[in-house]
This record gives sequence, structure tokens and C-alpha cells, in this order.
Amino acid sequence: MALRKISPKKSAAKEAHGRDRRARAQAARKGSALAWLREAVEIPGVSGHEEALACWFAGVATQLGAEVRMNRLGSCVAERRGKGAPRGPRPRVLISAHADSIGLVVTHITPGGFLRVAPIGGVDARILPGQDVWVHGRQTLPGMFGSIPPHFQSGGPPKPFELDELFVDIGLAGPAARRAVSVGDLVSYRSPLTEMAGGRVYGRAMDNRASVVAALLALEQVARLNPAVDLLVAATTMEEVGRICVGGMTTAHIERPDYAITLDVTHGEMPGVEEPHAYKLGGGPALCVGPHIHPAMFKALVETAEREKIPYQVEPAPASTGTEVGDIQTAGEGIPSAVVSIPLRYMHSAVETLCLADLEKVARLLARFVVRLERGVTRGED
Amino acid sequence: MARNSGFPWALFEALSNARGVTGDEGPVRKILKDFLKPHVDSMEVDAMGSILVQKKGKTAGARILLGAHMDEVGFMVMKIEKSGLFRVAKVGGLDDRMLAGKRVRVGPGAAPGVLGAKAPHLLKAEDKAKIVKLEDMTVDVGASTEAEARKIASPGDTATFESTFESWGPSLVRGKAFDDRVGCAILAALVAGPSPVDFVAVFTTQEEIGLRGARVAAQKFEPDVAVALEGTGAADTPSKRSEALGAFPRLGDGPVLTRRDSSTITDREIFALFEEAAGKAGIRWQEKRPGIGGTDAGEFHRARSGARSISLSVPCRYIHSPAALAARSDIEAALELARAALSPLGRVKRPAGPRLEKS
Amino acid sequence: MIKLLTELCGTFGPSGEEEAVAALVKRRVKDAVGEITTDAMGNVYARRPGKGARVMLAAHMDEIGLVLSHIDARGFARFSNIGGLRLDMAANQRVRLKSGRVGVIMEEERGNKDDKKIDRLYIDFGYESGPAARKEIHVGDVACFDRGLECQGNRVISKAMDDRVACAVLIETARRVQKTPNDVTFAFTVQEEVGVRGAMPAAYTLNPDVALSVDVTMSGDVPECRPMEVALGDGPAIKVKDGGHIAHPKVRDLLVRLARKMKLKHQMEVLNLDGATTDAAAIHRVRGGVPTGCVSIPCRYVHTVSEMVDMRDVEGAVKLLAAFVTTDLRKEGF
Repeated sequence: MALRKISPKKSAAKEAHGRDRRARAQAARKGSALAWLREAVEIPGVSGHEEALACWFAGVATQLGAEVRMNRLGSCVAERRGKGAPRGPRPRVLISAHADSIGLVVTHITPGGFLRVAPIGGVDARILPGQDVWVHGRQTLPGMFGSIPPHFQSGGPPKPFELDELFVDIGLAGPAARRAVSVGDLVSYRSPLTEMAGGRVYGRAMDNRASVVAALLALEQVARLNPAVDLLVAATTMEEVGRICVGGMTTAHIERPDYAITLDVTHGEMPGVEEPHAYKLGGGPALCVGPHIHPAMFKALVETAEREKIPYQVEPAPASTGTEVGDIQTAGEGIPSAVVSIPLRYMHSAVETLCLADLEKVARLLARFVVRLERGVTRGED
Repeated sequence: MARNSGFPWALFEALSNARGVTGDEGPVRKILKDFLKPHVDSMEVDAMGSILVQKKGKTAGARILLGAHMDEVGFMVMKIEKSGLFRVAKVGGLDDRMLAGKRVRVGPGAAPGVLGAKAPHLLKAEDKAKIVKLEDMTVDVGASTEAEARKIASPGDTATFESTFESWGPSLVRGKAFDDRVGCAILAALVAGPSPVDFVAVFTTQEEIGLRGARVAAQKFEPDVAVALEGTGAADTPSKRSEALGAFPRLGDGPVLTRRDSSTITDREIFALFEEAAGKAGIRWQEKRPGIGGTDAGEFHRARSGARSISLSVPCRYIHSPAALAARSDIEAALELARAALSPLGRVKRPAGPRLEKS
Repeated sequence: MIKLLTELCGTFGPSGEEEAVAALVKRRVKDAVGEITTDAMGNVYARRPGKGARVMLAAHMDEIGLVLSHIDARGFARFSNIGGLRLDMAANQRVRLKSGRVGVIMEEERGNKDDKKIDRLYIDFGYESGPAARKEIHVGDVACFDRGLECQGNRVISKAMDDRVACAVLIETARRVQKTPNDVTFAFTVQEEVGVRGAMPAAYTLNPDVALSVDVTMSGDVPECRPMEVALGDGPAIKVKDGGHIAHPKVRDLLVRLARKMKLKHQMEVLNLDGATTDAAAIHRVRGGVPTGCVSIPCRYVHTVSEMVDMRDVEGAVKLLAAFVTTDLRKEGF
């Protein structure tokens, strides 16, 4: 399909991430994980509007030798056939990572040229005042959430801000703002990927570009291992919005894999966020266990991690895992599924923080698990 | 007077005592499979863990799907404290106010444990009026170190209420997980007996966290008509508002037919079909209070191109607690009504819908 | 068109009991579209077969209402809601059963007035005793609000404008569009108000290449309301997102292009209200996914007995839909 077509609006974002060539060249020397991550988070990819991101994903996956296709709702699937006869029979394994990220959308332009916005996905209004953003209007413009100085706030104990009272300032007066921006235009955080001490990085949209990148790294490794498995790596859409993860659900319906692994991020440990709801940065992949995960898949994942000496953490999920796996597992006649997560701090902020080494560990575990699935696992229990 | 419907009481007792928290339905599945094996040609367990049985009857007719869910509400181990105590979370809908001090069975080996909370002596005055939340309780199995506790259960393992099936007074039975082991037992009895029509029986999983097994089963079979067999809440306990708001369904007043709940609007033709079948067989039945609760029918009726559906339930007091009560006569009558409805269900027609070329 | 709208709004049809609306829709669309069918859920399909892209246009037939849950010893009825009933507006309203019997919803005099619980409301159908009531009304009987349609200039007020106005828009579009390069189905769906239940099987059955839902949306043009740019009289609204669906950008952009081309007054809609959505939410996730957009009729006081729309917006919506279905949607990449 129209993989080459990138709309003019989105090329602005591309320019933005082309800006810092030196940094990118430096990153490339550090390995593809960081370089890919840097590229991936620069593309806005707000839920429902993932086309540019899917194009980027398709480009990388093609370079890795996979065959790519895009479905009608924008999810992109890269397929790598396993060794053996061209048409199998081989197990079909889907690794899905949602590519979309939370963002905002313009709902109203005030006479003074300020933009009122609504959330797309789980935006935390409390962190917005003073936040830098990109406004994807006719052109991509820098903007910022205005903050109300304490001098002008009414007395009494301060309340957290609500989105209704906040606005984006793009420096343009009413008529000019209306020419540049329309109701329905998207807004994304402006926060370039930044390297920290200790092999950690922060930036926007790490949820869930980190997983997209880990999936690509796994694809790269699987290509070297060449197991008798047809691997499908999907960058899915619209996970962050609504109770139903439409991208994962429709992709599973179309691809009908025999097994599915969903990659997502999970909460990293920090003061106030501790076990049992948080996982160590650098502690390796978190493996979900619970109703949404097929017990045999979980068991095989644990065995693989132990055999390969990859550190892992166990994440119990009594009901929903908070990932798209729930909608993949119940697609069609049911798909044995698992969830592998990357610990990440400050989820849904513009400074989501993670440990790069976790990406490598996740990729290695996934690649080895894909090889393990050559033999399959028991689909129906007992 | 109890009728003799051939309801498998021993199976029901075993099912009620068996442990099968949502996502961990293995023990229940095993009991059902062993019971069903001599009565069926083939049986399948799908990727969700549901048991799917295609029952041959005398004639074919409409595609009928009968479902009952195997899972029950319970707990999942989230963390083991250094002290050997378990932190647990709810699986499915449980009321915090009834948890403290209950006996539970933990992990694959069903180790006995208690849900402990702070004694009232240790509470500050202002906390005494507050609800003790599950997150402030621990499950104590007697282990005194993390390592000892780990031998009993790991994070991700489940725990259930401790409860044993027994007779209760002259006409009732008492046990845990009547929602929906009573439906499972009725469905198993239907499979084991002769049937006038073909039907598909699905013993589903994960109903309590969103009707998930039912969705997959319905997607596979795409039925014309579907019936969820359930254990539903009875409302005949003392209440100041019962005169104003009604106190039904009641134990002993017969099986319950649902017109609408939060998951499904029952097809009126199917409702009438059950009414008529009950009338003919002389079975007393009762209404479910509209608007409350949800069942697997919620997924059965809108999977793929849609189906006509209904829920047929046994009224049970105190569902989602350590012990429910149900009347023997209601259970027998529910089985009889389901059996009486089979033949007319086979004659249900599906409207043709648009004539589309394959695209 | 106002005649059609009056008929539609005046017809009984809470979720699950849409038969009367379905019968009326079939009668009114019959002359325009030959092939009319229904399915197991009660959805009505009016299809004009063609060789091109398969298009689904959906409007729901059901309206909010209530269901009787108990009839007490003196003949008063208690009830449960059907769909998003606003309790703040339910008290003191009249309701009508399918049989025609009228009742009034009242609030218990004693107790906490601020406690807006459905348990505090009852319906008085005017029966003299419990037994007299039980002869005629039963647990499970369904009622809708009883309020006529008023037309004042461009503004029309009625109950059930959500979503009979869209049913009228679809019927009118079917009448006006004689030739189309596409395979068009006008789908009149059931059970939208209780959780978009009818549209999913409908979309599964039709397996469309592209779909539009037509529904009402809220407006931001009344005193002290949520900030929203939609206003009555500013034309049909092209949805960007609501509480359950993000319009497919390709469908949304095509609608904007078509409106601009024919210089049709239109507005962009972002409905920021959790859970508030339309049939589009159900349609777009069916099978491998359906690119789905939504055309909204701005409406004040949604889910009350006095839903108000502007006929110019309704007319605009017909024009926009007509342009959409007469566009060769294969050429647009669907």
C-alpha cells in the first residue's frame, strides 16, 4: 500500500528529527537501539494518526529483510518467513507493539489566539502547565502550555489544574492563529530524547516506541537465528484510546497467528511506586502472569529466560494487563498470548525514562522465545 | 416437592468445592472433562481454556449454543512479604467489607490461609468507621519467611474462599462458586442426557473479568440462538426498601428468566419461547429484576453477525462470597426448563439479512 | 423532511424494542431503495447494490427510555434506565408504554433530595390499586418519554431527536441519491444507547470498505457549558474524535474536502466526554478494521425530552452524505 506517501504535514516532523544530525551519527555508533529509538520518538504518532510512524517502521523492517504490509486502520506488519518450504507449515508468531502515543487535539481557538485542547489517551493535566509542545497545524509550530502565575490565582488551597482551564500559547494573535491552526489539529509533547547517566534515556513517547524498537531488534536477531517460524512483527495503532485496543484486535483478526506476544512498557520502580505494581529499571523484562496470558506461554517464556540467563521480573495481572493483549487473545477463535514489558518511569509524561539495557534483554528473550516456539506450546491446557 | 430431573448432585458438589479462579480454571475443567468424556464423541479445549462440546441430538435445526462459565471470583498473589505474608488482589467483583477474617485456600496445593486485618484494638478511632481494603490485608498461611511462603505460592498464583458444599436446612444447599458451577452442572447434565436437537455446549472461562471466554466461543460457532446458564443473585433477604423496590428473584420460586440486564436485551421471541416451554412443562419461573448484572449472553448475542439470546438462571443468595445458598427445587427446575426449551430452540429461524457477494 | 422527522420522533422505540421505528423506516425508505432486509438483532439494511466500494451508512433507531422493575402493592412502578437516562431531568416527566398508557415520574418526597438515585423515583400510571395495575403492566415493560415535536423557524425540539434525526437524514439521502458508483447500504441499527450493540453485528454482516455513522453531538453554544466549538446552525459537524472513536483521518479529510468543494457550511467536532460515542466506535473495530468517520448533527440538551436541532444543519448533513456516497470511493483508496 501507500507506504511512500508521507503527507506534507508530517514531513515537518521529519525535518524536526533530521535537525540534529550530529547527535544521530553519534547515536548510530552506539548501536541501533538508541538510534532507532531517537528516530521513533521524534515522529508524533498520536493515536489514530500513526501513518508516518508506520512508514518509518516499514522502512526499518524492510532493511531487515522483512516483507511489510499496512492494514486499513494503519497498523503495519512485517513478516519474516522461517526456514523450510516457502509456505510452511510453520508456527506463525505475532509480536505486537503499539506504535501510537498519547497526545492532544485542538478543540477551540480563543479570540486571543490561545488553543484549548482535549486529551487523546491518558493525559495527566497536572503536568501540563509549562510543558513544551508541537502543534501540528498547517505547519508544525512550537507551542507551550501557559501557566497561571501564583499572583493571579484565587485564595484558598491550590487545586490541581484541570485541562479545561489550560491552554496552548503559540505566540500568534487570534486571526493569525486561526489561519495556522484548525479545530482537530493534533498537539504532541516537545521533548527530544536525552541520554542520562547509567545507560538511561528519557523523552516523550517511550511508551511505546521502546517496545517497537525492541521488536525490531528481535526481528534482527531472529533473522540471524533463522528458526522454522514465520515471525510477524506488528506496529499497531490506537492502543492508548478507549477500553478496546483496536489496532491489536484487528491485526490479530487479519493475521491469525498461532501465538502472540504483546510488548509494552510497565511502571518502573520509584519512590511511591513500588512492588507489586512497579518493576526495576535495568532488571530485565517483566513477564505478565494472569488470565490474559496463556499459562503455557508464560511457562515457556520463564524457561527460556532461565535457560538463556536473561534476568526477568514477574508481573501479576489479576484482570486486564493494561496492554492490547486482551484484545489479541480473544480475536477469532482465541490466540495463546503472552505479555513482555519494559520497565519505565513517569509514564504518560514527556520525560518517560527507561534503561537501554532492558531493550536489549527484551529483544534477546523474544528472539530466543521465537526459536523456542518452533516446537510450539500446548494450545489447550491439560 | 423435589422433582426428579436427573440433576447430577455429586458433580455439582465436586464443582462447587473445586478451585477455579478466573484464568486458573484447570481443576474445574478437569472434573468436567472427566464427567463429560463417556457422553461425547469429541471435546475440545480452546486457547482460552474453554471446553467446547458438539452434542448430537435427534435432529439438526438451528445452531444452538448453550454456555456456562467455569471461573469464579477470588484472589491473585501479587507479592510475598519478607515476613512470609502474601499480598493479594481481587480477581473479579468482590466487596472489601466482607473479606477480613475469611478463610482461604492458597496456591496450587490449596494451602489453608486466613485473610488477616488489623485487630480493632489497634485501630485509631477515626479509622474504625472506615472500610478495611483488601490492599491493607494480608494472607497468612503460617509461613514465617519469604522462602517458606514461596513454597506455597508465587506471584500470579490464585487463592479462593475456603468453603465446603453441604445441605442447608430442609431444602437448600450451601457452597461457594454457585455462580456459575450450578450452570456448569446443568449444562453437563444436558450433554450427558439425550437431546432432541444438536447443540454446542461451551464451558467458558474468564466470565468474571469481562465475558472473555464466551466471546471466543461465540466467534468460533456463530450461533443462531444462545443461552447462558447462570447462578444469579437472589434479592429475597430483609431490606427496608423491599416493599417499594421489590424483593425478587426469590429462592424456591423457580428458575429465573432475564428480560434485560446490563449486558443483554433478551430477544423477545426467545423469551416467549421459554415462557411457553415452562407453561407446557408446568414449571414455575420468575423474573430477574431488569437492569442488573450481566452474563455471557452479552458476548454470545453480538459476536460476528449476532445471535438471539437469553439467560436462564438459578437464584442464589450471597453470590461472590464464601458461601451461596440455593434451593434444590430451583436447580432441578432450571435443568428441566432448559431441557424443555431445547426442541423449540431448534426451530428458531435466523432472518436472512442482506444478500452479499463474498468480498 | 419535517414531516418525516415528526413521524420518526413520535414513534415508540427504546433500545431493544425498535420494531415500530423499523417498520416506519422500511415504509419510508422502500421507494428509494429496493433491497430491504433485517438480521438477528433487528438491524434494518436498505441496500443499493453496486460494483464499487462497499459503503455503510449507519444511524440508530433506538432511543433512551426505561424499563419497569417492580410494581408495588398500590400500583406504583419502579424502573431501571435504558441507556444514558439523565436522572436530573427524569423526575416530573411523562412516559408512555407501548400500549399507550401514560405515567408520570415522581420523586419520593422524603429522603435526601440531593441523592439523585433512580431508587428514589417512581412512576404513577394512575392505577387505583396494585391488582388493577398488575393486570395491565408488568415487570419488563418498556416506556419512552412522552413529548411532542415543536418546530419554530429553523429550530426543532423533540424527544428522541437522538437519533431519529439521523434516520431522517439517511432516508432523505437515499431518496435524493439515484446513481452512485458504490455499493451503498443504509443501516438502521438497534441498541446503540445501551452500548453500541447493534452496529457491531451489522458491520460484521456488511463487511464494508468504508463506513460513516450519523448521530447527534453536543454543542458548546449554550450558557456555561463545556468548551466546545460546535454550534447549532453552523452546519453538519465532521467528527475528529469522541469518547470512543477517533475518526479515520482519510475519511475525515475526504468529508472536509467534499464540504469545501460545494461550499457547504460545516464545522469540526471534538467531543471530549468519556464514553460518549456513536455506532462508529463499534463499526471501526469489526473484522480487520473499517475506516470509519462520523457526520454529526449538532444538538442541544442531548438525552433530555427536549433535544433541539437546527434544520439547516440537517439539510447540510443530507448534502454532505449525498456527496460522499456519489464520490467514487474506490478512487479515494477505500
